[in-house]
Amino acid sequence: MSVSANNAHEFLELKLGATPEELRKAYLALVRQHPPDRDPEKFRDIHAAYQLLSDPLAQATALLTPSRDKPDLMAVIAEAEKIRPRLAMLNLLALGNEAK
Amino acid sequence: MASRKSKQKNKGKANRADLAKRQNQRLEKRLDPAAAAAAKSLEIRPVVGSSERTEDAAIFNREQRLSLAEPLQVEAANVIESLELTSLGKFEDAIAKLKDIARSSPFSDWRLFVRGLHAFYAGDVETARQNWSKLETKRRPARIASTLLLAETGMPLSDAIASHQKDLLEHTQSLRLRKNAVTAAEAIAKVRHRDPEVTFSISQFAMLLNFISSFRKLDPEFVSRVGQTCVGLSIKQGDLEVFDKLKKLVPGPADDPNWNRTKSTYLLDFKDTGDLMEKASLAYIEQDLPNLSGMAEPLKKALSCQIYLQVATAEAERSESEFSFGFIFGSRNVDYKGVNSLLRKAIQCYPTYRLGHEKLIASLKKEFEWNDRSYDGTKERGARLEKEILAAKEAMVRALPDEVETSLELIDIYLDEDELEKANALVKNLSGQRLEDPLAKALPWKLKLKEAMRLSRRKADLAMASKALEEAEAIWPVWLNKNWLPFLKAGLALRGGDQASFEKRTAEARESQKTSVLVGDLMTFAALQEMNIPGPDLKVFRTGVEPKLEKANELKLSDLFSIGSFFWDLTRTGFKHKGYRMQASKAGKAFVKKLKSFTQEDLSPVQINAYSWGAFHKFWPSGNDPLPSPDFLRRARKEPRLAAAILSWLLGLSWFPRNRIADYVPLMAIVKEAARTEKDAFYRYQFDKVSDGFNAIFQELNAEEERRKSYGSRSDGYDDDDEDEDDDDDEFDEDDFLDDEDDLLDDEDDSDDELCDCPDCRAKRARATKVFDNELRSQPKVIADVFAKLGPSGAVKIAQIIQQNLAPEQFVTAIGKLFLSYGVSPDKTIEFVMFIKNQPGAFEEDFSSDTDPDAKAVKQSIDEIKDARKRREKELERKKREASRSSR
Repeated sequence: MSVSANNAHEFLELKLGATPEELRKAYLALVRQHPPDRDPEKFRDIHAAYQLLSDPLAQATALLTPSRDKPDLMAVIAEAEKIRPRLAMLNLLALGNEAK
Repeated sequence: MASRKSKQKNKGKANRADLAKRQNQRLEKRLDPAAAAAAKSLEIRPVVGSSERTEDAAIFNREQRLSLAEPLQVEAANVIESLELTSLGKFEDAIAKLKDIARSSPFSDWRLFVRGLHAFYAGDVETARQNWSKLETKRRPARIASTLLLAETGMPLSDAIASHQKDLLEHTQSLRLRKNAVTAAEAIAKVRHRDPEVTFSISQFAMLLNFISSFRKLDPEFVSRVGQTCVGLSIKQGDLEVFDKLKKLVPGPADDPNWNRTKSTYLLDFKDTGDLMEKASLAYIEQDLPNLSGMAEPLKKALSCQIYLQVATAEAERSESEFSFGFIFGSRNVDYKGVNSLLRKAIQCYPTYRLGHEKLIASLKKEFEWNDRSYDGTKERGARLEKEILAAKEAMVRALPDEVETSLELIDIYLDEDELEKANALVKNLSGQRLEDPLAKALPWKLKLKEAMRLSRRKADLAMASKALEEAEAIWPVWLNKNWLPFLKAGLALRGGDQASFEKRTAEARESQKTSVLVGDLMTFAALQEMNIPGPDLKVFRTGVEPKLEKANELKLSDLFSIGSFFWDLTRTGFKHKGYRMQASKAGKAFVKKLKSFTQEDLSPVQINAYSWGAFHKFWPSGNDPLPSPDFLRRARKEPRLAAAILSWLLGLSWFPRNRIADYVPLMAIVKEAARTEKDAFYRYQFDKVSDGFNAIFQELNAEEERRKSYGSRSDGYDDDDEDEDDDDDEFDEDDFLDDEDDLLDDEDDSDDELCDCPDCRAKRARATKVFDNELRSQPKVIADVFAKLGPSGAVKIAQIIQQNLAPEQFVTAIGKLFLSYGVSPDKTIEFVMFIKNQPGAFEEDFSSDTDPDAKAVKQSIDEIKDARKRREKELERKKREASRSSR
């Protein structure tokens, strides 16, 4: 998955409205985990995401530029298959009901 | 006849309605068990058991929770919050909530449980089991864990708690239901479309509807992802009917919850959708953005700014396209007030957005030009617009102090208006920057010269004026000749009353420069005007110039060349004297007229200057035509300075003829090439600037093309019939949808564009691609690169263009247009054109010089591709006939 305005936050594990301080903190934390000499590819993505999120105009431009690629529904499905659905809290708790 | 047709159509419709019904029934049958299981799964609620510990019951029972000691109530609340966060996928936050629960706490089992649950949700059953193996078996966390493991692996957490789970197992369906949801989603994804332009059909929409209603409550995240992807697919096709229905059904992503931004971006690239686009854009800015509490404010402002700009640009372009001769007369249809208001709003949202300022200034200039040319333009309006342009430029420089070009323009205006303080402030501001523009570097010289001219007003200041002139001389730009300087000095001497010095200096200057009488008179007159010689004294010099220019058609061409060269220096340095406008207009028109009989091939520097001046001022007879006269174009192809002057003129137009851009590709190639070797700093910078300007336009055009290609091919995004029927504010009505469905299925069934997916046809397509790939490898690199981008159809088009035996300029134009339409980069286009152009005999008849191996190779390459295509087509045709015969 390449970095785009739509997923840059995910790359840096940030919320949409993160402040510049939070952005910087998240960036530095991830760079420590994935330094350029050891993990150059990941670092490139992290850096690209950071640059995109640091510049609101660039981010807005990217958000307003439609992707040429068609969304891949099969890829979304394949991704979903890797993760189990999460149960609603009460349903989960009910799985511990005592036997009748 | 009509009635029979109508009956046939109705019959066809009925058949297709049956088909749709059957399709839906099959779908429901497939989805029903899943939906039922989902409902069953969702029925279950936690119940306090007879041997339940209070701490465990406290997690879902308020009374039990309140019966706990206060510190334990806090821990219970933390566990609840942690479980809620887990259900939202916020695992880190969920773990953080439990960090204060000690090992000795009765809630420590819940902490362990949550950790295991996270591993379980991430698909790591082993880690989950390890965490959960430490749980106390008689408590609720262990029972939940055991049920989950039993459902997932068939093995409970321990035999001690295995018995009770069998009753509960049916309630774990939700875990396994993901498989059903996945199957249903795959069914949607696997629908094949007969029309290759359809990316999401109405039958897929029907399937998605069922999918959402079946799995929405059970697996909201997956349903949301699938739904959003489907909306994304629906907007990739040429019409918005399905998108409009889908967007009411599927909430958009966090930054575009109502899909308004997506819709406005889509509509931007279609004609005749201005109102719809504006409506969606403004809904996003005014209704959606203020409510997006999760979005950072700077991003909101940047988005608002750019969307306002998009709406304004689209509105202006739409109005222009409605008026075919807008490029000549200005666009009277443009709602300048509305457009400029949107542009101002854009700047207000984000004052440092350069493009916003540029667009506002361009729009105001365009309005000014329209007012100037229009029969209903007024002087008052012109004056107001001049002020608005000035204010817009000042606002731009205030917001962007490093903006060089606008600063230079403002400095010229201030100098003309004698507002030296304002000019000085800007010069000071620019002096802090590292400037490459020779004109910007020459600012101190310009200021000094202007200062000398200003000081010459008062006789008491003449000594200072003379000193300023000397200082200007000392820093005279190396790229500018000093021809005018002795005339300026002479003018200053006359202003001081030293007639003898004046005469001596002018005579020397005339002699050394070998100017004609008229040109010498003109340079003297211009200098005297700038040195503030009083009107009565000036009269005698005026009579030596202006009556002659009134009859400029009678002047010798050599004089007009010299006048043009002198005026070119004044134009490029921004030193147009008071009478310049009238004199230039008269001389320019006569100059261009006389050039018709000018046949000399190689131009002298003076002649090149005069041509450049003529081009820059578009003095050719059809002055409003976006193309210069053929003579200018022919000479510009040999002379980069002239080419650059033409391109500079074009770039300065507020109505740049973007549809004619391919016509300028050859000129741009020449200028770009010359930039590498030009020694004159002024021209070298100008060549680079022109290249950059055109590259930016090419990039913009390519980006637009890319955007267009990212959607389907319909012109307006809507089917003509129901464009007005679909009101955005309507709630989605399933009955309406089902009524429409027949018509839409109609379209799908009628289409015969389907690519056959049988093994035979797939293999044929693969073979065809292989042939084309092999051909590519055998081409010269530049041709191969271009062909790779264009594909087989583009290669054939190139061959067709070459075979037309076009004149060089027509060939280049045709190639340029073709390449642009395929999104080939300007660099590659130029490289290709230069490659072809440099082939000896390239433009000779049919490229068929047998003696020229290169030209022959080019032709051969093209012929080979054509032959290969013909062979391929014949082969396909033959196979088709065979298949047809065998089926009979």
